[in-house]
Amino acid sequence: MTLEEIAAEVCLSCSAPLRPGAAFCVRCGAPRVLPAQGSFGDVSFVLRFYVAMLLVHGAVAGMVALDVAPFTVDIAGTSLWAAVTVVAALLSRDVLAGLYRTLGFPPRTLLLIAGASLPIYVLVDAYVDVLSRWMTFLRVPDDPFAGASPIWPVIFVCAFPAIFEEMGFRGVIFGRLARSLRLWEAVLISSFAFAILHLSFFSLVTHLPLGLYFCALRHRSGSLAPSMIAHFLHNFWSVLDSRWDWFTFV
Amino acid sequence: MDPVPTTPAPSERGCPKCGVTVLGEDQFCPSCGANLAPRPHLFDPLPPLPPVPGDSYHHEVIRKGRKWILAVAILYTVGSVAMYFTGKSQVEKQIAEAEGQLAGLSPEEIDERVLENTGMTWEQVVASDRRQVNVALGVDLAIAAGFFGLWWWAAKQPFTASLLALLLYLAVIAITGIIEPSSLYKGVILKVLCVAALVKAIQAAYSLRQQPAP
Repeated sequence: MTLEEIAAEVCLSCSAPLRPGAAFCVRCGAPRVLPAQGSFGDVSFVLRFYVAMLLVHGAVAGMVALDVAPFTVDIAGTSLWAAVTVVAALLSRDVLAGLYRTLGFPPRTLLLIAGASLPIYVLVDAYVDVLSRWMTFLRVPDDPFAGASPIWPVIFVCAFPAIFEEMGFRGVIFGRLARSLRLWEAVLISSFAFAILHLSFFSLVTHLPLGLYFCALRHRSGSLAPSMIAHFLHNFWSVLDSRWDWFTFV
Repeated sequence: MDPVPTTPAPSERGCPKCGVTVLGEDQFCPSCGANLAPRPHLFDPLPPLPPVPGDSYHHEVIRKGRKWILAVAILYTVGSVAMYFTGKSQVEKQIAEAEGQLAGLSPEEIDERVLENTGMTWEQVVASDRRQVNVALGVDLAIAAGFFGLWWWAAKQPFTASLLALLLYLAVIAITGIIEPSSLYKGVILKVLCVAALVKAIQAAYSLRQQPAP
């Protein structure tokens, strides 16, 4: 049976049988012929982007295996990641264009988001702390910028990931999927990709809710600015924490 | 609360928007798509599906796609149990070897030496190594459970479930490849087959929700 023959008998949205001659499904209200939204091209683009980012991780692992200094590996890896994201963003100009015209929220809400980032970081850090104390073999990696000027981590741990991860996950992946799929599917898949692409044991649990939060900011504001601010501050607290042990009370 | 308060008693009535005759159980007008019995809440479930006669194209596509997710789940479970036993025997071998090297020393000297290298006492090192194998099994089984969960969920949401299964599978290949590069070419044909099958499942599930060709 071909898809066309099925579409003549069964609703493509909810699988209920269609009345002969009806233009709409009597069960879910979907039109007999669903309007085309987006295309499979968006899904396959996201898949290729995902594989490219896994390859960036492979390149980083290769550099570590070749005994390159952690400082260089971190800067090269982050820049490579940024370059891949910029290429993907240039190929997705249509979904990104609108996101840069506005800050999304009034200043008061942006301040609220900035304030909320601290308790969110403390929660994430407490979880990682407890887990790494129990699993002694899962060492949290040493700070690659230890002993270097604080400018370096602020650029390569806070600013670059905030700008390019938001552009990649909330701009390209979420933007393209939200155009072709249902909203909840786009939110779930982009957060899942965000959690898994950190390739860390801890991030699987912590970054899924974080991804949902950033997606909500991006969706409610229609701009990338709020999630970039939240992401920047989250990473900034982690830099303060690892450099000066600010949050040892946790 | 009655979820459909406006359902009329007679089995036939006219559509309030276009006047076409509709049946009592209809939720939407078959002619203009008007909502006949507005559902009071967004998440109220749709009325149950009538039984489908035979195996339609829809169900055939979903069944084929799910089969591959199930295959990946079973392979992954078997693989992680096998990894557990090889890992366990390796760790015990390493511990026995280290004990052989440290045989002539007193417990204090052993601890001193081990502390220098690892920052832990001998007992802590042994416990940590053994726990590592157990936790690896736990993580592997959790991922396998994730694949089984996606297999179950694919009956309802074939597209999203198969897409998530592919993302998870690719990441698992990448992570094991980074930890142990030689694992990349082990069973490479099977891996390519699994990826190709998951991609086909995604394409088929996506085509089910798209407009049929005119």
